[in-house]
Amino acid sequence: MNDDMLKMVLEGLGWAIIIYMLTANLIYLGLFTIAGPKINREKKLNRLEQIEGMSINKDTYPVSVLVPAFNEETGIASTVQSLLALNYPQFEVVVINDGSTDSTSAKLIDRFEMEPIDLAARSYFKTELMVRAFQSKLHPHLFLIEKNNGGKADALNAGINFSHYPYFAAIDGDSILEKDALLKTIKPIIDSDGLVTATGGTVRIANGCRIVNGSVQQVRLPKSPLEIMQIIEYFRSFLIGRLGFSRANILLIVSGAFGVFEKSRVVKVGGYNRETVGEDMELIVRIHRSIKDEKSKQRIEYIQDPVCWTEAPSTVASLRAQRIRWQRGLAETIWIHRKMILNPKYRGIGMFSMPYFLLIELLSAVFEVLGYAFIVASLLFSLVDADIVLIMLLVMILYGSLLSALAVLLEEWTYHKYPDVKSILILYFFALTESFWYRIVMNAWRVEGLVLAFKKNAAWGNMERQGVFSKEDSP
Amino acid sequence: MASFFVWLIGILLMVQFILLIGLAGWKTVMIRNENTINAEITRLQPQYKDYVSGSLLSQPDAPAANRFQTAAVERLLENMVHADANALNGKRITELAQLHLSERYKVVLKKGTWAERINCLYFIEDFKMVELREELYMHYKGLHKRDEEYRQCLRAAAVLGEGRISEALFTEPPLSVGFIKELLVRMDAELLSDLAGHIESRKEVPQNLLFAFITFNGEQKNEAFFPFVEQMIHDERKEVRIKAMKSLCDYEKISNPSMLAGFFKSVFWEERMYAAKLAGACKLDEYKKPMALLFTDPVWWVRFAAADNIYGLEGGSNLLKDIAATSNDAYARDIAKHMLTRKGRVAS
Repeated sequence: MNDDMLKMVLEGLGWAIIIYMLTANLIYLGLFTIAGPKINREKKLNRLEQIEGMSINKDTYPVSVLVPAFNEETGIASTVQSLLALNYPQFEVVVINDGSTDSTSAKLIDRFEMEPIDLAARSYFKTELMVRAFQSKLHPHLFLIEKNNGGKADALNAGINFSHYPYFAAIDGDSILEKDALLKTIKPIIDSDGLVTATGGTVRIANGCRIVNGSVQQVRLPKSPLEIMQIIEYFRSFLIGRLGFSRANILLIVSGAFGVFEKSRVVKVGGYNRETVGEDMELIVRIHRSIKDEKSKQRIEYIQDPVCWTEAPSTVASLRAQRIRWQRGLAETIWIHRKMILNPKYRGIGMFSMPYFLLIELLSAVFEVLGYAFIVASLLFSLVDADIVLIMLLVMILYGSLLSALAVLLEEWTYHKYPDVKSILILYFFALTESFWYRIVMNAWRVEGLVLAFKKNAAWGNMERQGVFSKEDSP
Repeated sequence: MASFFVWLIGILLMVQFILLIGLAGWKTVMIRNENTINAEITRLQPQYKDYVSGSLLSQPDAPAANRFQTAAVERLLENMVHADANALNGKRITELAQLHLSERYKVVLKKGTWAERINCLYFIEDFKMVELREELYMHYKGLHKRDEEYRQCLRAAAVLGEGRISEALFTEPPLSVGFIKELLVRMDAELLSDLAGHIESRKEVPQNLLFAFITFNGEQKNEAFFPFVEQMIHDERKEVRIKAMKSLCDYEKISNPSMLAGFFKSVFWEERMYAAKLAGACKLDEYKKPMALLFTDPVWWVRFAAADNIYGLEGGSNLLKDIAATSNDAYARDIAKHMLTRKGRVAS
């Protein structure tokens, strides 16, 4: 291949990457345009008044709150404490200890005075053996199940088997809920008279916040840039992405950190899939699939209120493990349901969501890494027009930093959870730096995750916690 | 081409910087406004509290006539409503709300944004601002979309004793059972009695209204309508019978327990389930044996209801021990053991 030919190929590749990124930008802006009017319309709504009557209404569906826990000794007691304080008329909390090797169970048994009960669970799904069960003497609606290790999906399935109510909420053991979280999240289900079959709410990062008795008392920024960047990422994902998808009834993700589901629908579709690490997204896609197959009018909704606080990875190793797992989960889900892609039978899900998740969410890392290589190679060997390199760099900044900065502004415009101007300026500053360091690292890990998905390497990786919720401030 | 992108990024960055400065300025003002409102609330709160509790006879100071007046009064009164509704004089809260907020709310209902109108409707309900009843009804008549504004309008109208909404329950396109119950719980005895009269006298009653009325009365243990609910257990419609049984569970009583016997053998599993629940709720010891038979029912919900309710009956724990030791059915043995170790503790 002569130099001209090589130059032509590289320029073609360069333009392909530029067009791809511009298209991705336009899609994001399209989603923002869909979500914007709803955010604008509801931002002044009095959220507390809206759910006031529900807390005493006997028609508010009873809910089983399922908390799968594997080696969560640092935060589990605080998580449970926050759940017991939920403002909700009828609910039970079921912690499923998925074969932890630390003192997860002991912490709960000790703090909530739990005593053994005999197990009697339905067998909707096959799971690893449930060994023992406990019930709290202090809070009769708190249960602990101990089972052999089988992964998060298996633990959730065991929780569904044990649960007593027609709706369940799945919450991570490293998350805490706002007091009214269940009421706010179940509201679309009640308002629609059961037509909404699953709901998810906005998840926020608790690192840096002041937490007392399992409740976020003061929202503050963490010190570490790595944690700050994750806060910005969550803004972008929840405020711009999910609401737009939800409005078009094509939402594919209800965060694993917190979601509410109609049990009969989940049972009907076979429960959580143990064969993927992206069990939360895979379940939602399967529910969509079953709804469309049945030509049912049911739907999945997302509420924009921040209702759940989660602990974000604070070390490079744990963040890397998380991102690799997310990417693998996404790849596996898309592969499992590949027949839905561009299948008109599945309408918006098949024609838009699935292709979007394949091309934008899954493969964008590949395109971006190619872009980096392109820029470096071009600078080193001067093979392509400098203009193309410049355009690509600018488009990458647009795709990364400017969209993230927009998400920060959107958060301040809507929920303004951060109490001072300084926090907003810090967030905005870090958002602008995203393309120059954070995004590069994330893309490398996402490509690694993609490779591991092909190799079918199923390790969850190191998810060590610093215990944001266990380092509580005194009241 | 490159210069186009340089300009594009530059313009977008500039727009964002302007937005950032705007939002930072806006936030600073917001924080200052919040402090002003909080200071006003702190100033007025003692007088308002005394006036509302009756220890102060003369009207308290009017809030400062500025743009924060509405917010300050709303929060002040709302705090009082939530603090201890029983210890305070609701009429005085209404009086203060009507004095300071009515005119503003009339304007909001006509010209406010969607969110402002709904917030205003929430407060009209909370403060029971009866003098706005006509405005509220007219607002309701003007609504075309059945969204949160529509629902809140009906809730507020129910609280204000607006009789014309009773008719809406019969004529509007079907409202959900849950929402009708939200309205019923807000109605006073007079309005409720009128509605009951309509239900009993009309041939065609919307199904959801009937369901809501039956279950609502049970939840409220409303003695006046107990005979009405109880007679519904004999209705020819299965769903109505089930709702009546559910309601009787809440009443925790039944005038003639023998009327329950047939339901333990009903072909409908829901009726078998509610028979077990009702026997448990009313402590009908004579139904221990039929309940024990339900431990092997083909439907899980029936089995669970039987197990869940038998412990509380006299000799129930012995019967559970017996089932746990001797039943041929594995699940029956398991659930019996489970209930024994739970010692009747149920989730709240």
